[in-house]
Amino acid sequence: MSTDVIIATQALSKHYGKVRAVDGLNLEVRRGEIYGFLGRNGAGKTTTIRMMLGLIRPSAGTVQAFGEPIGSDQEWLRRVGFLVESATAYPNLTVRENLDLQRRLTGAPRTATDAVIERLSLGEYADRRAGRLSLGNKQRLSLARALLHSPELIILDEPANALDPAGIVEIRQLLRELAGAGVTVFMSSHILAEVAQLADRIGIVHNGRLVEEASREVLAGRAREYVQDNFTDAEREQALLTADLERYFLARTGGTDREDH
Amino acid sequence: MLRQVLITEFAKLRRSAVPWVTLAVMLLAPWGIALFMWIVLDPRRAASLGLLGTKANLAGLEATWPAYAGYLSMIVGAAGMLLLAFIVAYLFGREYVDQTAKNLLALPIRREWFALAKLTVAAAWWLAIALAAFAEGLLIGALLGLPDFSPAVVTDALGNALLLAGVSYLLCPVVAWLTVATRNLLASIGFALGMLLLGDLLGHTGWGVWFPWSIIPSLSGMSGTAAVSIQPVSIVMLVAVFLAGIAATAAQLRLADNP
Repeated sequence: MSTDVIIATQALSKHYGKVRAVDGLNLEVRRGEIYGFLGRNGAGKTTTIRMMLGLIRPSAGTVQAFGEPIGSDQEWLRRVGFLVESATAYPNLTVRENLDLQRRLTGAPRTATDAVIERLSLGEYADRRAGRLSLGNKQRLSLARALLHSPELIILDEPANALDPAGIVEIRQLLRELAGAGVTVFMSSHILAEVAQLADRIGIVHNGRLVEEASREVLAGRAREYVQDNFTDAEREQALLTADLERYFLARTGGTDREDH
Repeated sequence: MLRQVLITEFAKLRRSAVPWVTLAVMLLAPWGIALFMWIVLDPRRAASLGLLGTKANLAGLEATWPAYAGYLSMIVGAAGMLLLAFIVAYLFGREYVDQTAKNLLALPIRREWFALAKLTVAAAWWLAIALAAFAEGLLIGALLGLPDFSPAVVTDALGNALLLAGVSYLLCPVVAWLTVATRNLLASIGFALGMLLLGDLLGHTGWGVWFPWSIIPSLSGMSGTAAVSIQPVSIVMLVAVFLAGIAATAAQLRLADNP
């Protein structure tokens, strides 16, 4: 495995009885790239991420992180930030208190809490209990928790969940900045548009298997051909209209998607 | 790092109503005994209170300091065992209810430390409410003006209460394991209640020495006359259950799937 590979899976499988949630998955995520892990609901994305983080044990295969197989020593997780499935926090604690717990447990400096609150635009809610946050702000809090200790690798499961379009654009920009600074991002999604606008490389998982993996440009080219061959003019027009409506919505609500153009 | 984990485990209780609720429940219990003591203290009062007075008399209650202190110990032991099971189930189970367990278990920290820190928090929490209930009980006893008071009665009762509290604590890692294994608070509390009843039952049969959950009913007098000491074999079984509970909890967190 190349030293440039930050996290990789080899023949990774997870079976629950006869159900093969993940089935012989091989993938490599390289340093500084944004890897989009795309698949429908139930395709095996979250199970893969849970195995990557050591939360569940593979039925077969291995996960290697930073060149070493992950095992019982969890020290490698000091270099990882993550968000798994749903945004969660201690509801009786404030945003700041929730992040302070994370700071203590990851050994991040005291200044990290305020820095990440500002970075995720959570200042207005810093002293609000997490249980009283909107879903979108809970998601921001979870992202803040993932970024707090300045990890080298960020594993995000559906990071755009519950975010409004402006929030999605904001997170998109943030992830691009992080990738620009050399942070590796592995993100799962079931929304092609979300991944297509962000990922350098995209892997498509279906029934627990990686059915396609390519750079964004290559995959976009294949998608264009597919749409050209299989969609009517009206369907193509509808897709364009949807994209235009999103941009208009952002313009009217103070957001911007100029960075997407 | 264990220190940091401990700090965070205590911090998680901030603004939580649960510690106050457990304290309130524990503080309520001595009032129940005190009510019966107050009734039995004066035979005319018992007669005037009808059914309640009859019940107090039928229970064969003796309105003296030694009897009252004995009941206080029983509260800390029997009722407290259930309350401690709830505390432990809450500390471990809330991570699954709030879905924060996954955030903890994928941190660069040995997972066993979370279990140890939570059990330490449970010990501090448990000791605080047990002592508070005992102190309140003494105050109520003084207000009732019960006869036969002596410092030795209080120190004996305190010693017995602490012994029962300690026994309850040694049984609680099994509750912790059950909570992380089932990710369910109710199963653990149901288990503790079942064990207390079974312990009481076995205490009457003579097999109780082999069953650690019989120690509390036996020492507190629930299973008849209160035992004066714990049999060596019971101590061995108790320590074995304690160690097995910790080992099982640690193994569950480390080796099992934690979805």
